Amino acid sequence: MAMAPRLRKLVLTAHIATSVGWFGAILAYLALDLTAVTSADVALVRAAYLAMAVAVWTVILPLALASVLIAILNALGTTWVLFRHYWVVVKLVLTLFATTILLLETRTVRALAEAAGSGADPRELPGTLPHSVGGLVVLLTTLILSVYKPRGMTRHGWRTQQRPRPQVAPTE
Amino acid sequence: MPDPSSDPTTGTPPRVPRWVVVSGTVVGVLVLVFIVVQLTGLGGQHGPGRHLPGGGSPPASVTGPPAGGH
Repeated sequence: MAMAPRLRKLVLTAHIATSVGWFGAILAYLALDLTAVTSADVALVRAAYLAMAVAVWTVILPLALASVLIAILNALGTTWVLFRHYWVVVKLVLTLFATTILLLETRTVRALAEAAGSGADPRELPGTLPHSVGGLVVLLTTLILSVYKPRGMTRHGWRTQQRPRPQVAPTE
Repeated sequence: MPDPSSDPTTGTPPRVPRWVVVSGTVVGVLVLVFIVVQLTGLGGQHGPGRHLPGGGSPPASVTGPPAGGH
């Protein structure tokens, strides 16, 4: 499904914007997470947990879902396709994994925000650092794969490449 | 895009690249460690409850005083 050049550039732009935006949103979330687990200021810690929930639901989750969908669309519209090259396959698997963990983690973030906003001492809450750091590492890996595109064609890609191209009749 | 690890003349499919093998092994080991930790209970409960003291919902000991009371 080859896309016209302009459409391909539009989709690529959207892909980069959502993917890098997701990465940046995780960095901001990490800053809030670190504040929540290290600060001694009760009001600041409470605000951090509440802001983490807002960030996840209004920025991180929409960007993650958009990134996955646009990435698939982008791959299908280019010569890289989805399953011909290992770097694309690995990137797809990592992105789907990160999105799945994010969806599961939203319950935790909501529970922490509710606990922090309930009037209890939010400094006793443990935060979500393992997940935010892990998410950052996964997204950094996908970013590196996107730029370096390490070599390696899958069997499927190799078989597709071996297929004889359709002959185009010469024009008079 | 031709893959240098394959041989187009003999028609042999390409080998899995080393970076994929190494990465897959590392991830596999990490997944195995995670499963072992979860099965043995060393890592504790894994879910929203693990992030809250008392598990699942804020316990009474950390809820604030009733409104108007002091």
